Amino acid sequence: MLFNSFEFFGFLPIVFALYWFVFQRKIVLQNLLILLASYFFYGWWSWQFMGLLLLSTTLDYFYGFGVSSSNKKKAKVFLWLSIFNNLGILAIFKYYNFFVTQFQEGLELIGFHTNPVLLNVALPVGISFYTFHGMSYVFDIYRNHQRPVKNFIDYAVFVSFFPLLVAGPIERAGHLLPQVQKARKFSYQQALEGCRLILWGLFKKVVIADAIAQVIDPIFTNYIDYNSPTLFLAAIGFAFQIYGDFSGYSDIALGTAKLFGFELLSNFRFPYFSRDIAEFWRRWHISLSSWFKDYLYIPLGGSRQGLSKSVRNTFIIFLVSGFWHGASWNFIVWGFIHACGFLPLLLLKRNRKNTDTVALNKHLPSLKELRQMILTFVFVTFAWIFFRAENLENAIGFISCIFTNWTQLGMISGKSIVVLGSILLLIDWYLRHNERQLRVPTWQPLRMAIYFSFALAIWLKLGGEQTFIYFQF
Amino acid sequence: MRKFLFRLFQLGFFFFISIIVGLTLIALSTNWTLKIEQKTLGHQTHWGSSWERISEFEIWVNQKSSKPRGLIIGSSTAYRNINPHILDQTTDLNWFNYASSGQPPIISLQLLKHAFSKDKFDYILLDIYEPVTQLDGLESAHDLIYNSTLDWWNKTKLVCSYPQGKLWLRYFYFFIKQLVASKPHIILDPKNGTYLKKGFVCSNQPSISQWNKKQTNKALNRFASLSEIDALCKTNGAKLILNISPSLEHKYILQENFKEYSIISNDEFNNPDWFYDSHHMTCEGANLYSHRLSSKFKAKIK
Repeated sequence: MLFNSFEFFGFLPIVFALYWFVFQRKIVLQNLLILLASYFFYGWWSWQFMGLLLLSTTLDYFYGFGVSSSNKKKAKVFLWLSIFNNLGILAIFKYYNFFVTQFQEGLELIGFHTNPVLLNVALPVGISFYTFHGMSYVFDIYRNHQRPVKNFIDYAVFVSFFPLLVAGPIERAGHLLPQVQKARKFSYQQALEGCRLILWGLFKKVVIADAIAQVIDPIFTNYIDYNSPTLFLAAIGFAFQIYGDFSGYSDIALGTAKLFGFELLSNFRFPYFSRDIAEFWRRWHISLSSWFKDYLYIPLGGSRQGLSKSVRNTFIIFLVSGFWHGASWNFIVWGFIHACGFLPLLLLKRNRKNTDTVALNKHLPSLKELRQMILTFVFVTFAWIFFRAENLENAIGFISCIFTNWTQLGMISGKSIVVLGSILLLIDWYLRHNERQLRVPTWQPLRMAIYFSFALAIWLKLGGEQTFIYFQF
Repeated sequence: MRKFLFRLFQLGFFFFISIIVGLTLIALSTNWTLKIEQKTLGHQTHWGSSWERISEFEIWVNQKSSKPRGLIIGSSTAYRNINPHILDQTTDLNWFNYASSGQPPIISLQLLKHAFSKDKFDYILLDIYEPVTQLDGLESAHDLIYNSTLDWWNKTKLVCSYPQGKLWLRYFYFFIKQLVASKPHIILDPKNGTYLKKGFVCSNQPSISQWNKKQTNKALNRFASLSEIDALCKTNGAKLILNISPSLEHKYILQENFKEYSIISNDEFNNPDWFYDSHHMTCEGANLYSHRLSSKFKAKIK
């Protein structure tokens, strides 16, 4: 079920009403309802993979007890079992075909011809997210940051809570589980903030990202037919599309969770106002980058074992992050480009320089800040070409066409990209002080006019729903 | 909680009211109505004159007919290519072309149900243009909701079958226009065609004459709703005949599972002089085609 579908607008009020009116005083029943609703939500898209979700959840639940053992050897065995289990699921469903074809191509280079067996199964939605939930839970218990949860339903809710099930944010047990175990009280303010986030998220997805996608999708598919300015504009368009799409999804997830009394981790903090790549990664897909930092970068030694290891670890997490997005070389190159962008900051020890919000308490940024933001945006946009392209060959072809197709033919009007991108940036600039509590005008008529215009714009676009980009990961 | 729900309902109510007020203002804005409609709702009334054709159908179907009746159904390849006046003269039946723009079989089924609720028909000629059989019907639903006098119940069924924000808005707008007696705007686009009554639109466009692409074979697979259309016709005592619309691009190869149906094929009708694009005919082409179709039809029902 998609957040931007009519079914979801039928599903959400029913679950909300049952949750607060029927099971209001019984936390066990409330959690059970959330669990059933989450499986229903997931099964609406693909009931065949509900079993896989349940299997992954059950195994990690039991591994949790295993890694909590005082016997360190036994705990380690269960930790590796969990890693093997979760990465094994990912390896089969997401990476098997990639590894097999790479192996085959390698063999063919040295003259061996093979006929490998490829899997013809769809990638289960949300697999990269719920396996990471499970792993973080087991890791946290192993590191004594978390105690194993006795109640299976509580744990299953943590893994499969429907707002975050298919595309995150990737939650941590220490953050979400206490909320699952604690009685929730309805808060007017929290619910109101939730509704605002849902509205803003839907606007970003349905009105901005989907409209831009309609313009740029044919360009990325047949880039040879378009000229350089059009390709350049399409690349910028994708930067806005993916931001509107994924941050829109995350806002709807955060808003929906708020309606049920939950606070999820933030996933975006106005990333296109970053002044360098390090800041961008503190603001883009925060739950994933912090996951890799905590469970990969720091265990590898982080930045405390000398510069060379620091550089090595940085490249590892960026390459793994790229590969996490998809089993294809273009994603690995995308990660590599970001690692290269991060490297100078690391070497100059400037990667922690911009930790505050840009132009805080000011209306406009300084010229220096503006220049830094534009340069970061251009760098990120260049890297997005690799992310968006079907494969590495297409990405390179697209970039070479940007520099070589200086013809009059293949020109499109990029008005919609410019207008929608500007709307997105201007509103983000206004909101940039707090991503969780959207700043709204205090004058009620203006506030209402904004709500109604957003709702009308969303309504006009609803129905031709396009899936979220991050569902494929 | 109460405060939250009250606020939510209040906002929802005011949102709904503001939409109704907005649509009413558009409908009442007289001289500006057409311009605003075109800017906000995407006016489509020039599409195949659906407004006039569906209105005329309601009159035609309620009139007593001395001759047996035949109903043509399908998409634009039916209402632009099949001239019911010629079929009337040559088959001794009373025909009406009840096709509409982009109408896939699933919508044809709904329209046929509606037609059968009005009267009996002896023959149903279902025109099949393969690409349209693949459509989901949204385009047709827009046309029928906003651009036709189809009754409110059928419109409601359509709007529920295709949950889309813009379609709902057009649905409301249609009824608001009726309520406030705003005049229907029928754009007469001479390039689009001339409406010649009985549901037939004569296209006023010149033939393409030069067609360089080679006609290729394409499989025509059985599509959803065909069995239901067949069952509906049988229940209502009508004989269903499938007419495969010709195309300059493809020659359609019928698959095995069409065997049980009575089918008219028109592959030989492929002279580019008779078409103004790959599948729509010029007036001359349509008249010639209708004569040939009539002969084939008579042979089928003998």
